[in-house]
Amino acid sequence: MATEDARYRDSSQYRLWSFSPTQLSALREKTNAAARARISERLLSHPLPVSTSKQDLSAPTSNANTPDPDGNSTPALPEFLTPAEELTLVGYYTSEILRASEALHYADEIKATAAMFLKRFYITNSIMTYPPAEMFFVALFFACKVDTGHVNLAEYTKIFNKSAEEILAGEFLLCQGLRFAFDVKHPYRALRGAMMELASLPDMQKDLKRLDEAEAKARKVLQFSPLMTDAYFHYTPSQIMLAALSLADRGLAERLIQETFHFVAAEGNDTPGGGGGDNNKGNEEKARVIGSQIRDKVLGAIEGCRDMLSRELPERKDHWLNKQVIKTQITPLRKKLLKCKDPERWNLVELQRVRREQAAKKMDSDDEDDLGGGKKVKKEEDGDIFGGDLGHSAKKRKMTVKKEEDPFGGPMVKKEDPFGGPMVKKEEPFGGTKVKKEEDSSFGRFGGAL
Amino acid sequence: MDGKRQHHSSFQQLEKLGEGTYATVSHAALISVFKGRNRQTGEFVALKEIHLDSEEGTPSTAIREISLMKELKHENIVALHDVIHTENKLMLVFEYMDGDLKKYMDNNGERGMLKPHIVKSFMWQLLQGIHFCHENRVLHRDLKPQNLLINNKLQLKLGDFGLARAFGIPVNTFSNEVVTLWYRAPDVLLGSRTYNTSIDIWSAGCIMAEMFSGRPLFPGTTNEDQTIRIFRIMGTPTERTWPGLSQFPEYKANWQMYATQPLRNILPQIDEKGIDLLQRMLQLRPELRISAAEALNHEWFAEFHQPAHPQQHHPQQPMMHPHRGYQQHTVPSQNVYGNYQG
Repeated sequence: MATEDARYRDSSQYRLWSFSPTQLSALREKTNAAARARISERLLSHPLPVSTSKQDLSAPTSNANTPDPDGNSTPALPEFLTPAEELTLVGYYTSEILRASEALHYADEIKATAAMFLKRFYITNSIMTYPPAEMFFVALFFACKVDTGHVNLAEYTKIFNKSAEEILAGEFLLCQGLRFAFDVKHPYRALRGAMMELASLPDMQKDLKRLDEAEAKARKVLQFSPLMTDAYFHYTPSQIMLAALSLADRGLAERLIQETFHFVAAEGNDTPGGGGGDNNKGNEEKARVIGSQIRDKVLGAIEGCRDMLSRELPERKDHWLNKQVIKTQITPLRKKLLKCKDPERWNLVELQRVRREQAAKKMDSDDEDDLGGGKKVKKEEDGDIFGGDLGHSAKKRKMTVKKEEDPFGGPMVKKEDPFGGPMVKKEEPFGGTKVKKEEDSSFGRFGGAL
Repeated sequence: MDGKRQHHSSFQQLEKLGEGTYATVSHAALISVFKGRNRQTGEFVALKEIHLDSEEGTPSTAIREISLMKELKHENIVALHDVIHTENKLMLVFEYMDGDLKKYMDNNGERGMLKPHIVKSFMWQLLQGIHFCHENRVLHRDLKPQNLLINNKLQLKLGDFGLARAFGIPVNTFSNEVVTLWYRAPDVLLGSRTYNTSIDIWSAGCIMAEMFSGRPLFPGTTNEDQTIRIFRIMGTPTERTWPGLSQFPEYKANWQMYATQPLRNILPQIDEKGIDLLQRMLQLRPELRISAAEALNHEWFAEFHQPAHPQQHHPQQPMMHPHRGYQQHTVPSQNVYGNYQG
């Protein structure tokens, strides 16, 4: 039977959406560079659309259209957002998603899924390409659809004052950007499991109030910090949970880790390398050594995650709402964004209409058996970051089956595995195993709490 | 679909295997399933084509199926190779299976009855697939012979996860309008909305009986009729045999009282150990039903258990054990199967 860890390694979250910090920033830079290059090319080859396209906000105060000092006829390019600036804006819109879903009283899982959809999307798509203010609704709507299975679009459009068309136009893009991996694994269940584990320790019985407080505090952290940082891309749900618990009550987190590796050591046969058999003494010894090695690795990962979460503690919610902050940090970036946006992609409804037409045209002209060599109407996507067309046309699909599993041709294998320590762990008593024990008999037990 | 053949460049579309619908909130989305061939590799695939409507966008059933299938990679679960999304349709590319269990029974069974060693192999594979789902916190919720796909190597795989869902999130949102009537667990029939993994086990039990006898065990026509048919064989439960029974929405104080009938009388084809397993799967009370993991450990499956680790089932263990001439059994040509979808 596969362990919880082995199962996590099979999940799309690990296979497709886990990166080392270096990989992640490289991807973001690549996305940013690709968008710049494409937008530059468009602006240079069709200088007109810039001036005719709707200037959504302020009058053109920019130097975007100022003539070249040399008197050359080539139009000047706007100043593009840097990867760091993109990241700031994505952060801002993520905070908006959390705020909106809170106002709507969505479940933790939906809020978090929506936030992660947005963040994942903008790893391989630049916000200069697709408007974050639109994709934000799309991500929220789609997260509801995935999690609850039913969303009344009409109701939704009323709440957000968006047309159905506007929301649906982006759905298609989002699906591609997410590479059809819609299952996001969250740390909430792990937290419940951990608290149950702690509550079962004899000396904790008299301290249940402390447990309740720690759980509430940790949950608050989980509802915000990992979503506002890159924690989901670097750490497993149980690591994130432990880091949050450590922020809430360090002693409890340490106790839990202690208990866990004590547990691993006792279950000699389950530790890596412990092959079973009668040589129990040797195995126990081996297990203890391995157990403590693993523990140290886990502790390292959790400290790293803790540091990351500390940068966006729940108190920072106010920061993202602060008028001064918005005025000085966000608004200038948004203005800048409107000047360097992709003129051909920005209007999602229009983009979809054009693509539908092309698809229909293609269907007419391709009415024969052999389509393999047909010309592709539009290919370059930011998605090319993944080394191939993930995208909207079937063209390259034949190759992507493999690619999808390992789109980076190597890095995903995580040879160095900077956060890999805990992955080797055979048991994952938080979240997984504990909860699983309950499945058969009292499944409902978790229902309410989660 | 109009007469025009539509292609996705990487796949050559062959004959239509079936049609169906995904029910959505307001209406149904049309699904067609085609046999296809990967132009690159020549490999056959099943193409499930979902027409997108502009009212609601991608049907949530399709989204759920993709979402789950992306995570569930197992020998006994039909593999989702790829998703192709175009502006107006969504195409799921599944591994190709030659037919389904229903058709297999019709064509290969003796009046529908399968040979005991085939039944055992299918049950082993079915339970492996179910176990894997449950381990990954997924309920299939719609197990029935039409949804169990068989290939000519006699591998059995769970398919059609359109109704499946992940559990662990609030249970009270479960709809009780799931699982085809004949394979529906009594707790679901009684209106339970907090059902769990045990509903899939009930279905598996019904399927096991059907493979042996060639006939559905409880072929009910309505909710009520289905319930009574179950009671006629399994005995009518009471508050004493099933504490909390009277709390179910569909509980009736005036149910006719039936005595429990020994399953071996109804299903004389099944050996003693098989009956014991079946009995454990067909427990009226969900909490008494055997789990998939326990069922796989049942001694009826002794021949599949590795002598070294009788307690463990390794997923990498080959599903088909080449014994007693399984290989000689071949599934007849593919076109005897009309329907890919149930």
